[in-house]
Amino acid sequence: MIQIQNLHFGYRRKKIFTGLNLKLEAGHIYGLLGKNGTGKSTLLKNIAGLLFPQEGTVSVLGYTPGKRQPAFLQDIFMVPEEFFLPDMPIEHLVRYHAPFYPKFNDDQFNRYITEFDIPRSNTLQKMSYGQKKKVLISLGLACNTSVLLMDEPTNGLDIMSKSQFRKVIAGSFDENKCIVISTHQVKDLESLIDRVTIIDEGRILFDQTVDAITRKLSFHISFDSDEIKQALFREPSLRGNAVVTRNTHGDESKLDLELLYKAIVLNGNAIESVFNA
Amino acid sequence: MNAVFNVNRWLLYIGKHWNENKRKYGLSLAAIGGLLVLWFSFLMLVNKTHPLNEEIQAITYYVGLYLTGTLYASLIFSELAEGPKAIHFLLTPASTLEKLLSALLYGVLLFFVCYTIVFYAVDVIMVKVANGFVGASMERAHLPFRPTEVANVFAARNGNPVIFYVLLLYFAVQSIFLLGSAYFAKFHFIKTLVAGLVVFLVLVFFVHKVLGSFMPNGTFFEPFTIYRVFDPAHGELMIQLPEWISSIMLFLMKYALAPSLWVVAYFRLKEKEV
Repeated sequence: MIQIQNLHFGYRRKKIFTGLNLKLEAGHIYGLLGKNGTGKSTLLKNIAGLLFPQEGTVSVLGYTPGKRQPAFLQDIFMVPEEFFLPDMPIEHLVRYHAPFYPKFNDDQFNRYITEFDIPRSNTLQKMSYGQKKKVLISLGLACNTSVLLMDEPTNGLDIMSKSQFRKVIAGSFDENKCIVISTHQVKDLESLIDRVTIIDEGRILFDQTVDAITRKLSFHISFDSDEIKQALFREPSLRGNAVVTRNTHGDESKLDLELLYKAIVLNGNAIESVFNA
Repeated sequence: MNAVFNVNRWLLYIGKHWNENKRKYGLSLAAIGGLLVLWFSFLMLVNKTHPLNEEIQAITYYVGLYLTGTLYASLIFSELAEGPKAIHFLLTPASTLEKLLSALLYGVLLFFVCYTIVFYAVDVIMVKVANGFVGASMERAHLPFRPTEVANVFAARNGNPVIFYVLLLYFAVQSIFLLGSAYFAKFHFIKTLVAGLVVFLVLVFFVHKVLGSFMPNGTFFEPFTIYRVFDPAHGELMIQLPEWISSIMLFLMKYALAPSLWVVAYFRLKEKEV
């Protein structure tokens, strides 16, 4: 669905990608994690055709995104971190945007708006940032595009909205869609994504399915000093040590995305060796 | 699906654009109308006998058209300078040609039509008001009074087609500003104005200094199709381009300048990154 080969991209003073390769398939919700400024948004913009590769190729749904052909644009939707919505009532937004997306579903949109508790009487300009973001997310989901890109979608959402967000995304997902969510707020994506891709310094540091991660790694609190010593990653907490260890028992553990992220950034080689074994 | 142009999709895009911008357009036209009322009122205050004669009406029309038309054109693609708006614009599922044609429809054609309608709506009223005031004061002074007519701003004056060229030049100048709105990230109007002046001066320099250095002593006559040579031995000589070359060049100058700038704007939109 999305194929990135040997992507080179940089801004005037800073190289971001030097030969990035990545393949994203339909039927997955990808969590694109990484520190600020590591190229998450740049990658999404290259996928959406808002930026053009300086070298290498990006192919999305068989199209070259940079050509911005209408057939491509009507099958991809992006929720940018900073977004624009025109000043009009929600009904008008739907009336004038939905016809561009052949798979748009009005009932779905109304359901999401209800789930997000959006007041329909207000025009978009009178809504708060969080409410506007939820309208845009609802629109993006109801468009039923094959590719949905979200850049920091939970920024500006309150605690209840974050949980509604996870519920709505999970409810709208099907095997024909590929959702890519970029965030540095890793906790927000827990129990939602099924593949974790971590970018650092413009390269893919880690790329595994959640199934593989929970089969091979265990995330738990430990009081056993030997286990703590041998852990792939450990972090003192109020209740003992939070550790990442090899999952030797074969039981599926619960993924702690924040712990995994720290383990990969601070002790990447050890984690990698578990998956290469 | 046609990737370059589809009438239904274009109509959808036009509808979307109108709905998103109708308030802004309405306010802009109201502002233009208000400024015209102010200007005509000022003229009535300072000129008690012929405040809105036909020449003044025509000059007001064209000065207003050039000022507001270029200012408006310099804002047509200004949203490309703002990240979120640019993303909204570029990711709307319509082709670049459809987006450009929509901008030309609103920014060039409809702007011209609406400006003309607003101008005449104000002009007709203000000419009546001026005739009423001037007529009353003339009557009090027992002087003869000939009411001012509403000017036809498109009519050739004394058979001189200059109005026609002023209009053609307007569309070319407006297209330069439209292109500037797609090129520059900030201060579109000022930057286009400066860039346009620089290009114009470079052209003048090229024609007079570079071309002039290997041409015989003389000057261009009728802008560029005839070259007049001052030869002490033979007197004044006219070197004229063949008729067909002159016709083609004049045709291109008149009708191809604005469309060629639109083509450049098209490619600029295609290569735009956010």
